[in-house]
Amino acid sequence: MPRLWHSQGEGDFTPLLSWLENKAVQRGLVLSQTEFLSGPLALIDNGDCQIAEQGKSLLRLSHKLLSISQRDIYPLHRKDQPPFDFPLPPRELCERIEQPPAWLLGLAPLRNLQILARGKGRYQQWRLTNRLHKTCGIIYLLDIELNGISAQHFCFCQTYRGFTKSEKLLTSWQRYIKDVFPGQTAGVSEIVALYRRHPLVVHHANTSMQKGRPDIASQTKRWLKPLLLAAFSNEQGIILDIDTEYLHQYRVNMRKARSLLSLCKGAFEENQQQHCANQLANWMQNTNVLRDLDVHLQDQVTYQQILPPHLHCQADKLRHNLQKERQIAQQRLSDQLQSTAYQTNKQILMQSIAQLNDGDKGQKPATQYGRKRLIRQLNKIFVLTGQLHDQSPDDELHRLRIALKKARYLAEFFQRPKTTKRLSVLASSLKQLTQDFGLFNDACVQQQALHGWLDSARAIKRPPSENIEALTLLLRYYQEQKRQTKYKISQHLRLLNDPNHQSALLAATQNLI
Amino acid sequence: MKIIACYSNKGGVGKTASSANLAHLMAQSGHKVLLCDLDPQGASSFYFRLKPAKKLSEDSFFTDQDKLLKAIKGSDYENLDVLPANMDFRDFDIFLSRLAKGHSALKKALKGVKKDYDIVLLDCPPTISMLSESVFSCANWVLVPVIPSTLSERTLEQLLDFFTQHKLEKSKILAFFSMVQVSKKLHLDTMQRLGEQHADLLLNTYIPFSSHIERMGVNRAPATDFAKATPAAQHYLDLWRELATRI
Repeated sequence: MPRLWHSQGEGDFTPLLSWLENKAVQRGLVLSQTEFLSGPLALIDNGDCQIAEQGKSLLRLSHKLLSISQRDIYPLHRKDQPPFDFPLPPRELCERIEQPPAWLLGLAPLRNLQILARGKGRYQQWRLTNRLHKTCGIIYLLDIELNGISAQHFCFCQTYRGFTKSEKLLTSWQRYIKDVFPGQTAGVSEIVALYRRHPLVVHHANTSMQKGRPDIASQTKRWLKPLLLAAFSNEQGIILDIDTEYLHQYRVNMRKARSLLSLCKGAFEENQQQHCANQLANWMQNTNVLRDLDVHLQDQVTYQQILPPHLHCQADKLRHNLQKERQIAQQRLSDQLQSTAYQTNKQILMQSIAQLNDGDKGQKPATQYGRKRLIRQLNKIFVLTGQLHDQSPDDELHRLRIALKKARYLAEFFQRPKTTKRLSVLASSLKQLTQDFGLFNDACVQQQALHGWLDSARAIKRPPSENIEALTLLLRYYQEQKRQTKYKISQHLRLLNDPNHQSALLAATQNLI
Repeated sequence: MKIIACYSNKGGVGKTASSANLAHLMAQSGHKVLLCDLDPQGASSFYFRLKPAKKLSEDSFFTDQDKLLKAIKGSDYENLDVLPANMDFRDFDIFLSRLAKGHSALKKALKGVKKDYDIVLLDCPPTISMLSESVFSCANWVLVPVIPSTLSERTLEQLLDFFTQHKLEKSKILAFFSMVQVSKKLHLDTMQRLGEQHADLLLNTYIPFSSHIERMGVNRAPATDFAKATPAAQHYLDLWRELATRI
């Protein structure tokens, strides 16, 4: 079983190998190079830097994938011959390599892996073997040269249990390296820091509460800025169409910012607040078409499963049309995001938010304000829930969905760092509920679109029978899906309608924030 | 920690080849494995390019934990270490027969490696002796390669009788057919007959006779590494998968 030690920094270790070679010969060992690779280098991660978050770094050197961390280095072996082209969904990469490591398997499926930095690299593997040609130690040398930072050199040594001669030799070589290059610093974090500045890397909004007793106006401003910056950090991903997660996160952060503005009434002057909220609403509206098309296209696999084999070509046709529509919508949105007007409005909005004047309730303590607002929101939810029945139209469920989402945001925003378990339980149960409502909404979107397509197909002089048959089947499926989700939601709502549960929830909220 | 002994009273049935290949597959699937070569011929150690453990005599094996741990060598494969054998191991029986608790001596000796490994695979010499009794007592499973021929069949019966006489748990025994030549009618008939007689202890997977397994000595590596695409390696993989469901 190998044991590892490493050394890294700005000094090139390759010239020091001759020292090791001479000492190895004296001990009856042989040092030989077993692998050498040199060429263009690419650093790979997703927009959330989830690989870096796990203390790892994924490199593509020529066509070989290497994993390095502060502790180890190893190549990821390909199953197939074609080279890896990025962006690539993490699941696809896992399928194409032998024994994918846990840190790669655990990556979010919606974020594609992409190249975040480029440079040059050199990888060498040297082995120490004994007279029986048994490997007693391995040395990995990796030299990385990226734009913006000085060349980094890594040396990882792997020794094998029971081979003391080799272990002692490599340990003394490590000491020798330290003598020649004293004060070597950590290198992996420097590399990671470089690609964290890449435009495709998104920001994560820190929405924790300020310490002390902040007023609601200053606290809301402190939430709004990072939320908007997080939303804007997704623009490059949307423009380059790397994956749909960029648009999703753009919308999520925008929605949260808009909800904050609409929820914190009185915190700022009303007309200023309204102006900012309207601007956000406009931007979000621009993304609606693309979002809906993404929902349809994500369900394309389901289309194939729902339809009988003789109608599969109709599913393909539908996908083709949707993809064409999506391409147009994506181009339109990209143009908008790159337009001077949008960029100027962004700056104006950020300035407007910084200059928001306090409203009549602006000086109220944030916690007190949040508690009252959440209680009011919960009461609103109870009223809306009480009005619902089996035959309620979708609009009423949609209103409840929005109210729940706002309550969830309030609970998430106003929970203190050391929040009690019950408030986080409330926030997570609201999240679960809104997720179910999200499925309901997706089914509604699908149903609405299918209705539209069906009407258009029927309006043609000679309506294509197979197309109508496929659309009718899909429509039936989504109607059933909607019915099932509605039933699931009604189960959740039964609890929300229980007066005992309601008073317990209100009492808990009263005491918790 | 699970202890699996690869044992047969008959020589040349594929104990060492099976131990080496299974140990490699177990390690590949993420288990920390120690292959313990108990056979003084040291064939397992040879397959992994390891020299005999000179400093580990028969008494230090059972009484000196430090020496035992120091004798363990890392193989070229991740998660797989080997305890090489040496000629002193031929005296294990004499040493164990002198001990008051010879039956449990091996179990006690292996306690020292408990925290380091998930699986200890014992490659046993072809004898029924005090060492074998110690192996049977400490192993969770006794894996028996059986060539589908008369003599090998006879040794399986002898082993079962031994377990009965010494009141050992017969459920520990897991046998599999080894070095099978499907072109031989005798092999097929024996496999069918034994399969009916011992359905409870016979594994479904068999290992075919293969030149790739014989070439392990030339390549000095498990066939599951240097010839992993061959039928023999695939059969070992199937055997490990079946074994994994049982242990």
